[in-house]
Amino acid sequence: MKPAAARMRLPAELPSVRVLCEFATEPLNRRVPSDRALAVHLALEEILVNIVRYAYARSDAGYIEVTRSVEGDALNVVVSDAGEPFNPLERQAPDLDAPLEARPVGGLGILLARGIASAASYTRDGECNTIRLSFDAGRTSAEGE
Amino acid sequence: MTIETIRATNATVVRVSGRMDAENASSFEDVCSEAIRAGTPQLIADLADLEYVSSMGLRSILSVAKAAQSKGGALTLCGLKGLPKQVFEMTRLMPLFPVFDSREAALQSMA
Repeated sequence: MKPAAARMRLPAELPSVRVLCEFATEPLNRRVPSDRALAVHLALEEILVNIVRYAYARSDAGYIEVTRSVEGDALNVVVSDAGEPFNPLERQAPDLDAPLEARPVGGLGILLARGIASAASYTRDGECNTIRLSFDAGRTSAEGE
Repeated sequence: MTIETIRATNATVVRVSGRMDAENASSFEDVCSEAIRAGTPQLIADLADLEYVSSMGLRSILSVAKAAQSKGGALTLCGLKGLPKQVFEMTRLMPLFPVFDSREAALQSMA
């Protein structure tokens, strides 16, 4: 039987990010240690902030849609938007060995999201960017792998 | 997130509690910039009650550290634990900062 999914769509703006993250991680509440639920929240914040900042940069502000479903120990989250085609998962990680003065301040978010999720993929479906993330709810540390 | 600033003899302690995220991270930068402008480039971020920090928070913390360093000071971290500590480890930021277990230890190092 296919697991029940729940969906929420909000404008692609910063105040929506926390609401969407809380919606997506709601099934984890009281089921996993709070640090693990917060880590999943963090991974989603990184993906959503990226969409708010870049997806609609050259067009009218649009939406972000989050669909969540639980399958055994896994929380699956699908994030989609109708912005410009962009795969954030392909973004190169910053140089993590650079000294402070040369350390770039950007690029760490996607690194964190990839580290926390057990699987992450991107597809361009018609006019939409779709990012599929899977989280192993049973883990106790932040890192997914 | 709540931010409390405490003036010590050799440093300004900035105590951050709660969640530092995309919506509020810039206020940490504002408070620290103010302290640096006021002439105290030695900052201690007391993160013992920080529950959550996302990359926008890391961005602010890095910016403050760079600003403090350019004025001859530093941003020292103390009290890191739980998820925020894991986030610093995953992004390999820890070696960039003087790090202490407690505020007392951080202050002692500057005495």
